[in-house]
Amino acid sequence: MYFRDNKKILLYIFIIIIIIIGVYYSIYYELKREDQKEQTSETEVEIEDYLKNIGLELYNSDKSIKWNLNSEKLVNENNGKLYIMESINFLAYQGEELIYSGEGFKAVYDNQAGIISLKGDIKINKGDLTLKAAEIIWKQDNDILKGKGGVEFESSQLYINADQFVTTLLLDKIEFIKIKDNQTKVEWR
Amino acid sequence: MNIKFFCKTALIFLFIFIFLFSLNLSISAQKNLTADKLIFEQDESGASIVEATENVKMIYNEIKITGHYALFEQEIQIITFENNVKVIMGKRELSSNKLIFDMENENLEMSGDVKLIDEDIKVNSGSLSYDKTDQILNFLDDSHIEYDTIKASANQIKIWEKEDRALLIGNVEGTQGKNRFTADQIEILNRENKIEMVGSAKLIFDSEE
Repeated sequence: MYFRDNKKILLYIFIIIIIIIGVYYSIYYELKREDQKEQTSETEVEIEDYLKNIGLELYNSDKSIKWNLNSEKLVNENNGKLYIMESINFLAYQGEELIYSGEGFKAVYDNQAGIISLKGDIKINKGDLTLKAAEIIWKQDNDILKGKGGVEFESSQLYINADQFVTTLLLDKIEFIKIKDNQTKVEWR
Repeated sequence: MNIKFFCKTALIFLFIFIFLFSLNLSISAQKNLTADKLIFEQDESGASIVEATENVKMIYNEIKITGHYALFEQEIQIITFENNVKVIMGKRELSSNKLIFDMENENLEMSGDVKLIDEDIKVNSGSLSYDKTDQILNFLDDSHIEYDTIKASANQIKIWEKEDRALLIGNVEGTQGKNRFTADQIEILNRENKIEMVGSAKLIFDSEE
């Protein structure tokens, strides 16, 4: 009889402990979820502040060539010194004339140094010409565009691959350069 | 039994297909040029111009050309090589200071200290024009040939590759062994070194014979 009562008491205590733990965790997770919601909504506010299809206009030294750089996401760092953009595409104009267009994964623009570097599967299209590289850099003061990493160039008749390229901003003269033993190569189609 | 036979036949066809496919790939990939540096430009009509410098090497079907400089002009389908140009066509080796290669018909125009070195023939000349279709080597400007025991110079030397035949034209002077000869024109045929001379040929035999 004594043991039977004790068993009942133990069972009640066990059920009560489970209920208390259940209530505690449900309140705990509810609070945590609300915290996360608040954080997310704060971030969304931040993103909306920065990034609604931001466009950046960059000019060469004599302002004859303009790059219109568009991005889905832009982050401003170092008090406006650096602009970091993702999923970028750009259009290059000489006056009103569109010279070429391009796209890439990420762009970093150093506002003070006047240097823009684009990274991640950069692809530039100029008429029937396509120029690809892992990274391209444009120093605005010298109007020279440099590219490196898996450089590929295609036209209707030619295919060129190289380690690096250096070109004028108009892409009218492109120099393909080897690094170490990897020679530049032209293949005819 | 039939299934086994079918499998064997299928395997044989598969291997043949793979072999032909890889052979086709290797043949089709034989049109390229490598260099330390390439410069791409377009002319006013939009045609491509590619300048190649340092350690230039081109493989174009069965021809291999090397040099220090090359210029490809898409508009006229011409590649010009300069400085220490060497051409390898099978066992034959040609060298010169300048070479113009026609990409459409694979003809060659070489100039400046042109040299031909083949298994049994050597030619020096000021210029060479090579017609691939007819397989004729046409050496101009004070040409000199060495063929077996024959050494001769002429204004022009034409070699027909298919026929193993050479024609020396204009102010021909030469030796065969110890004998000297002069002629307006002589023909060398690769049949026991038979020499056929036409025009005002003159043979000068060695006095000891």
